[in-house]
Amino acid sequence: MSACFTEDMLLSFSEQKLSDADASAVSAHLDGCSDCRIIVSELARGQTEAHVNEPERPLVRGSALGRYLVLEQIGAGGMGVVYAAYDPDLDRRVALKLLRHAGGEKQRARLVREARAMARLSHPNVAPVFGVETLGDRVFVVMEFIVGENARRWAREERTAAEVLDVFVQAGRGLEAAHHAGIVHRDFKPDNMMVRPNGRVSVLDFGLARPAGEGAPGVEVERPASPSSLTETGTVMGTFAYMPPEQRLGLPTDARADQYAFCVSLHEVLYGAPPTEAPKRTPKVGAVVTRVLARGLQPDAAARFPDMQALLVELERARAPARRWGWAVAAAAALGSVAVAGALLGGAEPCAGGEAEVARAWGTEQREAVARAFAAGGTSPDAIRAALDGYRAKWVGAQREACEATRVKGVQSEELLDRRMLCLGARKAALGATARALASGGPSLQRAPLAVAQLPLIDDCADARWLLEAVPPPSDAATRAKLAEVRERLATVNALTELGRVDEGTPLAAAVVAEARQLGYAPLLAEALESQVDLLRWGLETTPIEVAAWHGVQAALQSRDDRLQARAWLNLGDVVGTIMRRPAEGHHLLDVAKTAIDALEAPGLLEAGWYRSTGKLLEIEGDAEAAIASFHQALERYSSDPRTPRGVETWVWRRIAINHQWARQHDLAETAARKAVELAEKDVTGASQLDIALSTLADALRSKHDYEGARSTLARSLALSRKSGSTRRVAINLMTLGELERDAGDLARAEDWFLQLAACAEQLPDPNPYFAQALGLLGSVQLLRKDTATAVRTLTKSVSLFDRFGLQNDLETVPFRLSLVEAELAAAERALAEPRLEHVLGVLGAAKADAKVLAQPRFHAARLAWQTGKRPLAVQLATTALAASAGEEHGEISDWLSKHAAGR
Amino acid sequence: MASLDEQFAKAQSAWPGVELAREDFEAWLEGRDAKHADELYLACACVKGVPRAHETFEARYFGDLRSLGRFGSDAFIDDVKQELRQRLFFGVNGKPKLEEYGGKGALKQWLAAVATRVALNLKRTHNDERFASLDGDDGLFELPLDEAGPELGHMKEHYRAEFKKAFAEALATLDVEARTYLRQYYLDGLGLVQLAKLYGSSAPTVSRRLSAARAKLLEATRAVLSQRLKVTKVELESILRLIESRLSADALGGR
Repeated sequence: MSACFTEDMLLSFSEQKLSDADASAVSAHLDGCSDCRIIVSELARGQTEAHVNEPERPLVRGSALGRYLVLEQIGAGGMGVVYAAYDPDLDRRVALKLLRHAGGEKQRARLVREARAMARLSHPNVAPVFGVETLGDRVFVVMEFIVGENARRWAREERTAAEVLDVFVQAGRGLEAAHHAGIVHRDFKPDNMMVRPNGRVSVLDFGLARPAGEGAPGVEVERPASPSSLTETGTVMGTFAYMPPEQRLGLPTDARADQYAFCVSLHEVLYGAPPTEAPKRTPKVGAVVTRVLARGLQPDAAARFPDMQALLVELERARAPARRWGWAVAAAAALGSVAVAGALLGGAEPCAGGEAEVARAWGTEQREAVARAFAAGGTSPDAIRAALDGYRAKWVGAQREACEATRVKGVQSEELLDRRMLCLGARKAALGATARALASGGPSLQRAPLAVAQLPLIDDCADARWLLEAVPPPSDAATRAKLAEVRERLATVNALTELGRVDEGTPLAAAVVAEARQLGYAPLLAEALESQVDLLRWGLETTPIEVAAWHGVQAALQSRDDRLQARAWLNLGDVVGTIMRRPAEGHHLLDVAKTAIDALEAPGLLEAGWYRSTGKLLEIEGDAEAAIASFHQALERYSSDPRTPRGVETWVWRRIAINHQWARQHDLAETAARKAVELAEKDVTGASQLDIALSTLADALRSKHDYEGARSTLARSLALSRKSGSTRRVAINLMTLGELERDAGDLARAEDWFLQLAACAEQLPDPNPYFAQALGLLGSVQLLRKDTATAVRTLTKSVSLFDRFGLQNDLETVPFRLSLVEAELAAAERALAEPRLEHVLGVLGAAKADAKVLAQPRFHAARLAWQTGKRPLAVQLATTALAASAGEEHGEISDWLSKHAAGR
Repeated sequence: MASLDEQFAKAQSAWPGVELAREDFEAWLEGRDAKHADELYLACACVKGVPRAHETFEARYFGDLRSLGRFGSDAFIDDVKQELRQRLFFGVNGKPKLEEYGGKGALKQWLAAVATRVALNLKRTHNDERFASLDGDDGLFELPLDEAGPELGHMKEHYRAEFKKAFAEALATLDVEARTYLRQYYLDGLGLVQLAKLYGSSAPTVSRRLSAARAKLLEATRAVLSQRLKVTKVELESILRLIESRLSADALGGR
């Protein structure tokens, strides 16, 4: 072993700062020296896990913080120090709030999340947060450097009540907007309201006032002698005098805490003293203001106004007579634009074009066309029409809001406006494409509500950080036009997919992917590939799905869009694990997906999707219990999210039922299946899932020997599936019927059902594992009926079909393989039976020993192994099976063992 | 690049109360990377025994050593700290370890490297058993097979020696990097993202390389074993599958 390298060298190696020659020398050393290797691993870990325990050091003028140059300290508070700084890139002055170390990764992540949420919030009365940056393990928030004075200083001059109310109504609007975005201020006070020279008020320091170590807002406070002595310094986490009782006590607080602080502040500025002290002034305010204050200052949060908006409506009333013209003119002057004043005073509105624009995607013409299509199908279009109208209204609101932020209020950059409009354009295209696809009618209308529910979220277009982080869209007009066109076509692909019109969608998707690739705009390509994967999932060929999913990951990585990346990894993990049936690798990829999802601020349904995919992988691996746990995790997230697509929960409950059944937990299986049926029944469009849910329930009942219940459930299910015209669904029902009669002991009827099943399954397109399964079931019953020769033929065909589909080692095929071995032994075909048994034993050996699913096959294998003379192995197998078995099965195995184990 | 005066002023204000002579600082920067001038200032002050330097160093950097928790208890970390004090400030033979810090990276990271080495040495002298699994490739072989059921546990016990040998031979057939990848992934518990960052590569690439290395390792083990062992093909397959499943699932962590 070569001598160890210095820590300096290892550090340079881990930061990739070495020359190639040095690096390979270190590499070679790491191979033989576990100490150095562990050190490098620790360094690699350290670079991703920052530790936060640094004592603060004040920054001096001229020091650099990231790309910013510190100018001077302008304040310090509980959550950190504020510096004025210069941003050389944008040539502007900014305020940097260097956050106090937040005690741990989690707390820090929360601070970052909140600051990011603030950065997304664009409102004239909220001080703009440009971003949040991390430097090593320090976090700082970059904010607008506001010229002006805080409301406390502002109030030192004589102010009329009307002026005070105007300032507070503005500040209240800022709070209201933040509350809507889910952010609570928790330290609102006059010091945090900046009044600009033009009269506009901006609220500062949202959501940052929490003690470092705790999730709950703070009780770690210093009580100031009087409010006026409250300076910017000190370690106050939320300021005592402004805190409602619940916050002082450290109880959970919500937006209503801000209402209380708002009213204390208003009282203080109006009367020159907080509500607890004698007033120093007697302003002319009406009874309305007194009432507002009294209600907002209620110690019991429930007794206050329901929200800021309700409070402001009241306050506006107090202000109304004094306002009149003054408001519009003052606002216009504040914005410093004559054109805007004209607009406000009744001229043309600069942002009113949205309504007309979206009407081209979903307007009178489209409404009528869709109504005609539904009429032809004999169903009512009302629900769909209402949903699309709602989407359209939301779009118009978002379009206006985006436009006004730049054109009227001047609080948003042109660049951001551009991206928001592109984002909205994509949503308009999706609306138009869905409308067109619906208008062309057909049986797919059944899936219409699903398609509408899957329309891309409009709220995403207000997400500034997300929009700005992605690669910039091309700037030349020709490429942009082409981009819009491809987007339009992509929207059509998505609409067709959601409606299940795979044959039309597939060629179009391929074309769109090619076009997107040619345009070279990664985000669009990533989306196109995602859509292609969704479409290919409906088909039967698997390899192209994996290829598309890998390409999707590549494009998503290039797009720099973290949501696309998370989705792409998840998609890939799911495809590799469940479709390609390589669960180990699937878990691997889902690991990466989890990292990506965890890094998202708003993972939305992706977490649920992750648990769903993980559950599927675990199910394939035969780990029913872990699968069930993962499915429950998914459900927890689905059920609390209004955006959950229809039918997903039904699907998950069904999988839970099936896994319980495999784990021989029949009561739990029945409960879960009933839950699936209940959900499917509630879903008005749910005809599509109800039959499958019913057949799952029937299966659960069958396992509990409730044959009558199972039969009647199946009758209903079979009728539904015949009506749906889906061969696959009819097949599932026939299968359950056959299994039911087999278990009930009526082998003749079972064989009859399975014959019907085989005939039905044979119609499905190749490669057709359903047909192989049907033959397997049929053969197993023939074996039970002692029709050995026929059973061998049927089962041989089944197994060779499975093999042809590459399912040699698939656990689900094991029972059929064992049946074939048994049939071959019965037919005295030992030469065929023995190698086949060897193979099955290998597959079983590779599977988890405690998998309840495998108890029965293992026991079956044990009996066959015994029969072929492998007695010790047989006993071992049965012992393993016994440990994982339950109920009557357990008894059966232990009986067998007591008879055979002794005599081996 | 800032002038020496600026660097000195900045470093001075970075460590209030630690007064290093300007000429000492200047001489110290010689041959070191001035990018981390502040940290070199403190390192020099510690070596020169400037008043309050040691306390300042400990206050600033020793807190981070909590990350060594994966090697042992708080008491163990205290031992590591004690040993570090000795080595960093005074040295084992009069040459303080901090002299070696050349400013190639952040002092905090450098210290993490030194501390890890100290921790490993201490573990070794304590003859800690948990450590043994980190040490050699035994750890790779010893990935738990116990849950796998009685029959396979038995086989592993039975063929243990042959198996270990085959495994070691197989491991030797991999290339240096593949071996290091496997060890860092399975033994040191680095994630895909961390590995990708370490080797300036991407997570999918790392994932593919790991899979390839694992496949090759198993293939080679299979080849060696089937030559040497007289187990039936089924038994051999079972054992290998078992290792494969452990390598791919459990060692992935989180399951």
